[in-house]
Amino acid sequence: MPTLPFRTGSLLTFAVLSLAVSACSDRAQPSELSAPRESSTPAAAIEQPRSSAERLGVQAPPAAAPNATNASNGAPTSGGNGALKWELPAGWSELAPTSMRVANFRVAGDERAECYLTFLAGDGGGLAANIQRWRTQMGQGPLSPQEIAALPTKPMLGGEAVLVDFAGSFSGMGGGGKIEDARLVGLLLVGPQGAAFLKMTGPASTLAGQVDAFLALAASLRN
Amino acid sequence: MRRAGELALRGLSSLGLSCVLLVLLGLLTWLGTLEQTRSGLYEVQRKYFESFVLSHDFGPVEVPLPGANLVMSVLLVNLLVGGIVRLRRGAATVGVLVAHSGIVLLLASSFVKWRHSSEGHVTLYEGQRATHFQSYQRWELAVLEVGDDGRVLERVAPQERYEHATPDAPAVLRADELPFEVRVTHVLANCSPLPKGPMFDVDVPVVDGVFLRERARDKETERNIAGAYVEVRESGATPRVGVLWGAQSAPWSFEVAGRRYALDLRKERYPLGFTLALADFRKEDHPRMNMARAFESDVEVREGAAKRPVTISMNAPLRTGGLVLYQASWGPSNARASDPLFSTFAVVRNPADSWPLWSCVVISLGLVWHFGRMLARHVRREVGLA
Repeated sequence: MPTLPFRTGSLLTFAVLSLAVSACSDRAQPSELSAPRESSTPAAAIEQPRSSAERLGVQAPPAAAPNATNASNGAPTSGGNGALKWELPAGWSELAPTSMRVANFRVAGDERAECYLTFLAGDGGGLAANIQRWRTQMGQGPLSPQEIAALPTKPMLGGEAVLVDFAGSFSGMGGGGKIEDARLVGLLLVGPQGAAFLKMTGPASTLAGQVDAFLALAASLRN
Repeated sequence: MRRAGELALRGLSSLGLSCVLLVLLGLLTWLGTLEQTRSGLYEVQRKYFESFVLSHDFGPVEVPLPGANLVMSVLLVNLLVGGIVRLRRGAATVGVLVAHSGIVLLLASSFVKWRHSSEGHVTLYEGQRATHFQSYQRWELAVLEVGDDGRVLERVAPQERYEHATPDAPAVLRADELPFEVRVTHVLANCSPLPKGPMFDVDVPVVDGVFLRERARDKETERNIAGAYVEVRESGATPRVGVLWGAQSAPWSFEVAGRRYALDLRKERYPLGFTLALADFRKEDHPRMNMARAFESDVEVREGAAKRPVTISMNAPLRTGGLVLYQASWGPSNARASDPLFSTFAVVRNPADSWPLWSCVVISLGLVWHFGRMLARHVRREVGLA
């Protein structure tokens, strides 16, 4: 009677058993919950409904500042919105913050030139995505990862923020207020704990003399 | 048919199969050890030693391998058939038979531990008490219900029931007594909640302006904080979507048919079977150092009306009710002299706790008998030749 070689028989048996046992591990759905048992969770934790943000300990974005303006005509003046403080550059004026703009400024020299600070939770979408979004707003193509990695940094809010400076035709969010021959100067500080963006846009001729003031404002931001 | 049966029996009982299985066990141990450079101990245990099949990453190639669970199961059959049932009976094989029985007991103990043991911890400040201990790594989804008498009842689903849920293949959890079913649509092994801003999109639901952002898994499983999206579905009503997170301060509470329920994602809990109360915690530091030399806890074990004071120290665990409670750690580590300290007890429930010891005794007896007999025979032969 012909027989399989001894080793072949062993391996065959093992393979068949492997398939049989692994096939038994599939689970069916739906699943029944366990039988009820008394819980140590206090009833008060269930009877008092809470919002998701409250339960999960998520902070709302920084509160909006009072709806007031402050202008600096000569030397830089101190400003702030309670949570943040800064040195307002000469000739700049503070505008009322909005739901997204924690600090909001008009840049000296042109009513169309503006600068504002935004905070976002987490990485705010990431450094590269925000740089490319700003490039798009300036009508420019995306930067390569190597070009992004080579961007300079400047101090802001205790960290080293990435500095971008783009020229082009600016069309902001919503497409309103298009500026030809515009410039965008921005600082992006992105980390796992949060993201801060300081962005200045306006006519290139106006912003040419305001970049140093922009950087000084960034360096002056503090809690 | 009979020939196939004989062939299978011959293969199952063969020494060749034993060798293949032992080589595989060695290989899995080696690969599992290497894997610990990338994954924590718990994940490695699950992948290599508690699985039936696995896929090992050999650089660019994924190679399917049998898990240690499968290998040991086949080894058990191999031992039972080849090493016990088909073994020639006689004085010459008594020792081998006993040693094989010891190995079978060892394999059985590992099976019982895998299927029926629980490991976790209890952490208490002085004056606090607990009726359960909780896992370091495993999560469970609990459905909580406030009863008419104000007591809270819970029904739970262990991690395996929902951890692979997706929006296309949600895990459905139900109980006959509940007027709704729970659908788990997203499960994130490690995540954190964030408010959704208008300047970026997310690929998970946003609930009350909040979403869960997935984070890279930590190598040590116990450091990950799981999250999940769930839908509560009752007949004739629009499903309600909730977001659950392992570190949430309160469960997600909702009302169905005039009764309040809640869903909680938490570390798996196991009942102690008694109440453990921490009366006093003491630690002794090394001289002129803030490093503990020894620490111990005075606890009270309450079972019904009976109360029993016990001191648990580093080398003196409490064994009661099938559990072993070890003094594991204390904290907070940065506490000042006047700050209250908590005491953490590692808790193990393993019905086969002492089986490995007994199996080693049995194997030793078998081997001593077998080799002693061979030695005696050799000596007799040598003396006879002289």
